[in-house]
Amino acid sequence: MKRTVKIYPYPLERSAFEKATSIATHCGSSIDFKGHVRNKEAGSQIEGIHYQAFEEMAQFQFSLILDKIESTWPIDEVIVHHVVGKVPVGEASIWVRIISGHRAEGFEAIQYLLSQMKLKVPIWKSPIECQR
Amino acid sequence: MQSLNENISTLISAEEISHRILQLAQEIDKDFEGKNIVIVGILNGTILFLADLIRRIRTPLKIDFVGVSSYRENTVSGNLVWTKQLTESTKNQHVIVVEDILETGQTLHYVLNHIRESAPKTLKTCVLLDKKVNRDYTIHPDYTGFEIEDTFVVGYGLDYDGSYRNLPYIGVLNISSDLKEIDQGGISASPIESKVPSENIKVVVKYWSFYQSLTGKSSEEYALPVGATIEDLMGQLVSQWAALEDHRSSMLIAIGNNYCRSSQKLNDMDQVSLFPPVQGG
Repeated sequence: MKRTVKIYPYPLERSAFEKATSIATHCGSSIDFKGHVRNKEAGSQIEGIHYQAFEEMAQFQFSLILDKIESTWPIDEVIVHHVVGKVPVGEASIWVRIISGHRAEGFEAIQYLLSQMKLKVPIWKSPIECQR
Repeated sequence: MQSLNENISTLISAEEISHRILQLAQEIDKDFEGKNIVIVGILNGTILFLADLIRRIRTPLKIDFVGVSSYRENTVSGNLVWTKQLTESTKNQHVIVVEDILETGQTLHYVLNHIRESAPKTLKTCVLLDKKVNRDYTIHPDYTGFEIEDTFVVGYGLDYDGSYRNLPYIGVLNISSDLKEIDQGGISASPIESKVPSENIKVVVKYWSFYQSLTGKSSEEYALPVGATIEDLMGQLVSQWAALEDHRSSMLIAIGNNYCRSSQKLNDMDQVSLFPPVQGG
């Protein structure tokens, strides 16, 4: 399984996900997920979210999650980009691509990746309140 | 093979090994009576030990192997990467991880952490040789073949530069003194001098997310007695930072890049990170 995990300052590298990566001919499924910042956090209007990461541990914890994905589903490639710093409302903070033979394993793996990330990967957010 | 001024003297004979393995197998049979087990061998050194051990075990079992190697570019997992992953499921299973020699504990620590993630019913460790001198991770094997001194051993699966694995006994390799620093476990060698126990250990505590504003710091150092645990450290911390006390129940704690429990023993120069629940995405 090919794997890429990148954590870097906002914004997401557009070229990385807009450009179609070459997909092996036995793969019929490529699933993209982007997570965007909502305009409300805990009921109040915000203008963005500031993300902080403990990058070394985040990389390690992602690698454990990817190890588990690799041993559970037949996945060809996983790409994860997560940005840190201030991300304005409407903009993406995370992008995940999972390439596999069929869609079923891809959807299961991406759900697993995202839910495990929210339990284990040390990245935190603090909302930036509107100045009005 | 390099031409070294070397010779091998027997440390543990084939008969002694065979006798001890029978005892280990009987212990395992007793502990797992009426159950099924999964034996996980760590490649490559365990192959002879594992082969002999499983032939003496009467409990129904499956075997699997994992391979771990030191850092390779483009893969971040601490310093280790998988060269082979498990193929058997260990979820809800009685798992025994078999290792040839326990020294720093890094490999075994890494493998155990990984298997723990799969939620096995029980997870035990069985090592043929336990060399206690250079231990960097707190690991107490459940089954130990032999405890040995700090010498470089080969044979019965253990190699030097890829050779000698096929010797039927365990021998001491006498190599010229300039090569003595080679680490037996195959990964990080630590000079003996740094292992001399001192009165206190020093740990670096790092704060993340809003804990940084609670304490007004991103990191600080604490001195603790040898043998202190995370629990002991937390005692000192909350007496210094009362505001942290309110967040104890949801606090996540890691040593290095791994989550840990409050009973975990601390080592000198450990980096302990404290943070609230994570919120990526």
